[in-house]
Amino acid sequence: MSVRILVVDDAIFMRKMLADILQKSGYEICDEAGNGSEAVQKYEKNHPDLVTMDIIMPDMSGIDAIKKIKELDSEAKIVVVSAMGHQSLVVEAIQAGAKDYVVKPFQPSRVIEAVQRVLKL
Amino acid sequence: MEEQRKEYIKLFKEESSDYLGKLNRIIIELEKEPNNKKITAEVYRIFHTLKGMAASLGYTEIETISHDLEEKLEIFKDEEKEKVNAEVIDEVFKGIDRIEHLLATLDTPVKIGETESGAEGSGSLPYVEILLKEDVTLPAARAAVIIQRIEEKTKIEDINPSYEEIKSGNMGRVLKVRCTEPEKIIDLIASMDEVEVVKLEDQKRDRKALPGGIEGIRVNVNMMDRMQNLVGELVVATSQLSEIVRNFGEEKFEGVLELHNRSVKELQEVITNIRLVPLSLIFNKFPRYVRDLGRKLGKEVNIEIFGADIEVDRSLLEGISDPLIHLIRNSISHGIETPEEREKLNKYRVGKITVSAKSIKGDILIQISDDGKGIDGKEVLLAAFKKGLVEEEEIESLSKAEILRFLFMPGFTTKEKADKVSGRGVGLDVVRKLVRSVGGSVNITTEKDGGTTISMKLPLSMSIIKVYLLGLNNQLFALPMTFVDETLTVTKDSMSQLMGKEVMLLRREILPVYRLADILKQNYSSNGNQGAPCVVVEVENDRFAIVGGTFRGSTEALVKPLPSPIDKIKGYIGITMIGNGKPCLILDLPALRYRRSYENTGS
Repeated sequence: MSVRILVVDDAIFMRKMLADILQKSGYEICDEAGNGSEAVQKYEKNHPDLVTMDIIMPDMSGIDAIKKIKELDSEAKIVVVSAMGHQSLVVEAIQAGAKDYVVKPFQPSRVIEAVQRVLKL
Repeated sequence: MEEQRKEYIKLFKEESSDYLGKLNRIIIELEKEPNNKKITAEVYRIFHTLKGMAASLGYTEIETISHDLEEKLEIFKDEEKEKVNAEVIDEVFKGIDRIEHLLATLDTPVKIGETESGAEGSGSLPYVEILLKEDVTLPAARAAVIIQRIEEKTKIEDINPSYEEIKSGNMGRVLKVRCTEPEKIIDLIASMDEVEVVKLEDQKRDRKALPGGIEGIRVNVNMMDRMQNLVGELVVATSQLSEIVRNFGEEKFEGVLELHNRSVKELQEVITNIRLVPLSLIFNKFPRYVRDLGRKLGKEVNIEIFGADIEVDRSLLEGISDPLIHLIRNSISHGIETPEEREKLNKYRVGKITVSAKSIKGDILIQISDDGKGIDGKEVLLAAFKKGLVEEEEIESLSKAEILRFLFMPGFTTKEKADKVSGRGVGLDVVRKLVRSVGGSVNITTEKDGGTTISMKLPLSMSIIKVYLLGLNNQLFALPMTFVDETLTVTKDSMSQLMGKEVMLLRREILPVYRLADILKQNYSSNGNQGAPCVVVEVENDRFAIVGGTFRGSTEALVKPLPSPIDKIKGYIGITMIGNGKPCLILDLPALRYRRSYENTGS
């Protein structure tokens, strides 16, 4: 059974890029979400093996979404995908329970490495 | 009675300099986190103790200063925190300096190398020291991930920098964590992404804590040098003896010889160890230096230190002290931008300097990196062109390493002139000269707006070094192992010509070739297409191959300066005696490389 991943980002472009990279490496994209509250809903519905989470999104931020998801499932595996300038937010996201991070713009290999590392935990 | 007082004074001095060293360090921390109750209490306690000790010995000036400083620090206690500012801290430091000066003038000399006790504070658990890779993305976030992993395994007692600092992005490449079971997590962290080295802080540094209250003995440094030289001679004589016995083929001797060999080897180890001192002796002075110079130049700078417990030969330590200070000064005055400039560039306000030391294959690598503006290759090239160091048509073809090499030329600067605070690059030639004089090499890497890293590779000891031997025309020549990367045999097929120079291809890398015979200005006869020995060396950002001669293995060599008049000959760092008692010249590989590059620019 393949590993199921939920991709969260407010930009369709970024979601598409991430999905392509992940699918190429044999991961299944079980769903996508464009904001924090949608991410929480879809996590509850799909119970994916891993989530890639953008931080700055409308409606509910990635950090709040991480906290909510952690309440639902303390074992949730989340990788933050964030822009270079947001170091403090990434630190906050990790404190909220994200397991690793990737910086935009990313190289496909960096995404896969981070996903593999977190899945191994 | 008089004896007893002397003893008291000695104790007082030693203890006080420990305290002052500690104050210098923790007051800088307190300045950053004025709300830290633990540090505040510690600072108080120290001034109080100093006051008490000075009073009992009748040193009223020290007593008064300590008392005044204690009062000055009231602002940290009450609800007067807003009064905490850099000026007050300056005054406190001034007081500390004054006490330090007074201590130095008291009548009993204090042993150098015994001030500043090793481990921080309680002496309980050691810190796990983590050095992140040079190109780490978001170091603070990486630190947070590491902390998370550690917390999953064990309980964390302390983190440096603090979690608050990490959150605000004030994090460079060094993270120190004290936790309940440090051994358990070392391997885990070592396997993590973007981690370069992990080690347990060494607490054995506190050498005064010998059992039975014996403090060891004072040894004259000259005596120690002589002792080391004698042992070096003994090592050489022993290998000569071994060779003779081998040729003699007498079994009776061999048992005795082995015992002898072993003892000499052990003796050499003991002497080497006696001479070792921790880098912390100079590293611990850096935080204070960085703070003071930063303030003077209107820059905010933090320094972080990795591997201060690594031990090196004391003469080596003395040799690198000035170059290190020089490089840190360069970083602050020319590398790190002002807080305003940094904010404009979307960088964290406070600049960061990382000083790290680690041992690699018996050598010591010390790196000084900053996250400042870096060096613009174009500016360097322009300055080099103006100075006539480079021809217009050459400009395009120069590699980054070749461009950066100009920075090491005597008197080279990118600043036009009359700028008293010299441009970056001034003094790098001096740094290199000093580092080379202790048998090391200097590298520089830099990224415009990304910062600069200067790496010094140093041998563990200056007088006994590992060398690789090559034979030519019945003579032996030695290459210092510090620079040797690998050895192999090459055939003519892998050699070719590039722009009139001989090169060879090694795993898709083009290496310049130096013929051993050419280096030594000797004749040699090629042995057709049979394999020729080849030693690949790496010196200061450059890799090249030395081809020719015959492999003669490796050995330890006692380096002796060249006797007059042959000390005028360039290209050798010294001479040594090898097993058969024959003298053997040791090649100066860094100088060799420069010779070639000058030939290049000349043609």
